[in-house]
Amino acid sequence: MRVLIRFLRAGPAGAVEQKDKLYDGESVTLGRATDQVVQLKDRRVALAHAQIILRNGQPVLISRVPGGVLVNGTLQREARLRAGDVVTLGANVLRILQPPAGCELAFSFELDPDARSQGVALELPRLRLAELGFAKRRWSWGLFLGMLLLSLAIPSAGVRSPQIQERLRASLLPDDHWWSPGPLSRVHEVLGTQCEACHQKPFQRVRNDACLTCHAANLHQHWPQSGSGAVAPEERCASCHAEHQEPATLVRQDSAVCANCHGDLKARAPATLITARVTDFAADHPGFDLPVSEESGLRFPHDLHLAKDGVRSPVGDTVLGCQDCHALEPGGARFRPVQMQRDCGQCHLLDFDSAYPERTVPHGDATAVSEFLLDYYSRRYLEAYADPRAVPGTARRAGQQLAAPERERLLRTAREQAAIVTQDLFERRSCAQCHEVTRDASGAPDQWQIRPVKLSSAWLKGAAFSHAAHSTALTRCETCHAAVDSKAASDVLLPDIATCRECHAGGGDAHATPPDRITSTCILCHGFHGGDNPLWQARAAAR
Amino acid sequence: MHQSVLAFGRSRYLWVALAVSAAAVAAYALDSPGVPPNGGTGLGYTLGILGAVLILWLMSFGIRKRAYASRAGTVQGWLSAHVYLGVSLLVVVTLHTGFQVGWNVHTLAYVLLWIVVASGVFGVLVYLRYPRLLSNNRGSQTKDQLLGDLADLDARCLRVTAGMPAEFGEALLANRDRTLLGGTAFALLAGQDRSQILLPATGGATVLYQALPNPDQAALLDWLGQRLAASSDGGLSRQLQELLSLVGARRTLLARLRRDAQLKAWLEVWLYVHVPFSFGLLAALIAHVVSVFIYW
Repeated sequence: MRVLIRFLRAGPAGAVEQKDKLYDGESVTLGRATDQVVQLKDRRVALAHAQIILRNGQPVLISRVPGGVLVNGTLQREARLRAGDVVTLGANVLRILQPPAGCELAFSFELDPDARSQGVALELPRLRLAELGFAKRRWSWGLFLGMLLLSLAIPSAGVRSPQIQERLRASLLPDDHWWSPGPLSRVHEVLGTQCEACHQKPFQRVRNDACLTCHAANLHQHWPQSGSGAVAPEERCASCHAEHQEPATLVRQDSAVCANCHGDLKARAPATLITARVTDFAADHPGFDLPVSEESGLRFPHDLHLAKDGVRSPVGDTVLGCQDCHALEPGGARFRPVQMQRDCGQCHLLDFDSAYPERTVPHGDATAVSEFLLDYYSRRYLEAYADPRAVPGTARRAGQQLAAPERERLLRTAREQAAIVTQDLFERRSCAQCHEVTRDASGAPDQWQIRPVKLSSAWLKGAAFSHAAHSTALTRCETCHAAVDSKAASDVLLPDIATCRECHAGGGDAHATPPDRITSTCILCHGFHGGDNPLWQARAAAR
Repeated sequence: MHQSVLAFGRSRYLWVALAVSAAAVAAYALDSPGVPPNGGTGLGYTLGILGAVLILWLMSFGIRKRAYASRAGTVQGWLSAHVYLGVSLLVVVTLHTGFQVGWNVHTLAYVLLWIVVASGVFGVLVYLRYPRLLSNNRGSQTKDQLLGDLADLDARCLRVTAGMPAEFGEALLANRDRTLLGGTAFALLAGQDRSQILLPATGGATVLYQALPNPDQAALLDWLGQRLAASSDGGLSRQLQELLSLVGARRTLLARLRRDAQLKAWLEVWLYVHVPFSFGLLAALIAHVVSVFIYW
C-alpha cells in the first residue's frame, strides 16, 4: 500500500507549512511506539493504537485498543475511511484526503493546536522498573492474600460445611486434600480424600472412635471401652499407628512407644500384673520366664542320641542329627511335636516275639498293649502257630478238635506267656526305655500305667519366635540349644536372654547399635493387640 | 572504610548461622523418632518452630530498615544477620520437612522459601558487584546529567542540520523521536536497544520513507556515511562529518545510559521477587500451620 501523508506544521506568523511524504508498506501503523509508521508522541495514545489496511482496495481503520478510535466524533472499532473523514488520536488529528494517482490513501496529519500548547506530547524515558508498573507493595499484598485464600480460606470453607466440601472436591478449586502431608498407607487408601473419616472435628486430634468406626470388631480386647484393660482409654491409636508417613508405614517400630508405659507400668496402670520395668531389650529386659526342668514324663537323653560315634539302631550304629527327629511346622515358626511312630519308631521298634519280628504292639495305650498280647498268645497257642522254637508237646495238628481240658491248658499257658512278655515289655524292654511306668497290684490288663507325656512346643509364650527366621549361615541348632550335653529329658534346652543378646542389640536408640548386632525393638518379638497372645487373653478373661 | 555486609563484625553472623545449621543437622542425625522423619515428631516440631520464628524475624528486617530512630543494632548488622540466618533457614526447614515432599500446601511453603532465599542470595551477589560497575559507568555524572548531555547533543545535531537539505533535519529529528531508552522490563534488563528511525530510501523518482531498526545508531550512521561518500560538495561533506561525530558521541552516551539503567534494574529486580514472595511465604506458612492443626 502506498500512502501519502501530508504533515501540517504551524509556521511563523500563523502560516501553515505542509510537507508531503510517501510511505510504502503493508499497513500504516499509528501509535506511541517507536516502530510505528506514524509515531504519535502523546501519552493518551497507546503504543500501538490503530492501523490502516487495505480491504478490497478500500482503506479501513482498525482500532488496536479496546475502546475504539474516534472517527468523525464517534468511537469505532473499525471504520472505512473516505475523503473528508476526521480521525482523532489523542491530540493528533488525521484528515483523510482524496488520494493522488498511484496512492491508495492520503491523509493530512496535524497536532491539535490547543493540545500542543499544553505540552502533552513529551514523554520522559522510563528507566526504572518502578516506572514500568513494578510494585512490590501491591504484588506482596496480592501474593499474601491470594495464597491465604487458596491455601486456607477456600479449603477451610469445606471443613465448615459438608455441602461446600462436596462442591469443592468436585471442582478445580483447592479442597482439604491440599493439606494432606503425605500418602495414606495402602490399607487406608480406600478412604481416598475423605479426610473427615478420621479428622472428625477441626482442631481436635484424631480420636480412637474414628478408628473404631471400622475396627471395632477386630481389635480384640485390647482397647477396652470400659477402661480397665491393658491400655488406658486416653491412649490414642495414633500414638502407635502414625498415618501420612513417607515411606508409608502404619505401625511404629520403635521401642519408645512401648517403653513409654512399660518403663513404669505400675504408675500408668496400677492394676497390672506385669511388674518388670522394661525400656530396652539390651538394657533392662527381664530374663525369660522358663521352668527349671521340664516334666515331660519321658526319659530321653539327648547326649546319647547325638553321640558322635552314633547310636545303636536296627541297622547298626547310626549318627543322628537334630533333623532326624525334629521337623519344622509349615510356616517355619515352630517344630511340629515329636511323634513316637514317625520320629522314634524307626529305631525304637515295638516288636516282642523274636520269631515274628514284624509283629509289634500298638503305641499309645497301655491297656491295649496288655490286651493285644493276651489275644496274640491265645490265638497263637489255640491255632498252633508253626513256631520252630515252640515247646514240644504244646503243638498240635491242624484241624484237630481240642478237648476242653486241653483247651484250658493251652489258654493258661498263653496267659502265662503273655504276662511274661507284657511285663518284660513294660518294665524292661520297650516302654520303660522311654516312659516312666508304674504298676498296681490289681493284675488287671490296665495294671501298668504310663505317665502322661507333656511336650512343650512353645516356650516363649509372650513372644513371637520363628525358627525359620533364625535359620542362617551364622546359626546352628546348638548355637542356642545345648542338646549334645543334655543327659536328661527334664533339661530345658532353651537359651537364656544372654544368648539372644549375642546377636540382638537393644532398640532404644538405633544409632547405638553395634555394627555386628541387630537393632531389636519391642515389636520385633512382641505383638500388641490380643491375638493368641495368652497375656492378653488372660487379661481379657479376667475382666 | 566500606565494609561488605558479609564481613560485618568479622562475619560473626556467619558463625551464628553455621552453628544453627550444624546443631540442626546434628540433632537430625541423632534423632530416631520411630517413624520416618517428618515435621510432626518432637524434633520436627522444634525445627518447625525455629524455622517459623526465623521467618518472622527475617521479615521484620523490612520494619527495622525503615525505623531510622531505632537503636536496636545497626542496619548493616541486621542485614548481615538477615543474609546468613536466611541461608541457614534452608537447612533448618529442609530438616523440618524430613525430606518429605508432595503436592500440598506444606511443600508449597517450602518451595516459596527456596524462591525467597534464592532471590535473596542473588541480591547479595548483585549488591557485591554492581554498585562498582554502576559508578564506573556513570563517571561521577548523575542520570539526569547524562540525559541533559543527550538533549544537548540532539540540539547540536539539529543546529548543524539547519544549514543542510531538509532530509537531514527530518532524519535527525526522527532519530531523536524514535530513540528508545528502557520502556519494558526486558529491554532494561537485557540492555536492549529497540530504537528505530524513519529514513528516506531512494526508489526511482519518488522518495519513500521506511521505519528501520536503529540499534546503536547504526542505521543512521550508515545512512550518513553513504551520503558522505556520495557527496561532492565540500561544505556538505564537512557538515556530514560533524554530524557523524555528533551521532557517534550520541551512540556512546546512549550506551552508557542503557548500561546505567540495566545495572540499576538488576540491582532492583530481585527485590520484586524477594519481597512479594516472602509475603506469599508468610501466607503459606500461616496456611501450613493452621491446616496442620485443623486436621491434627
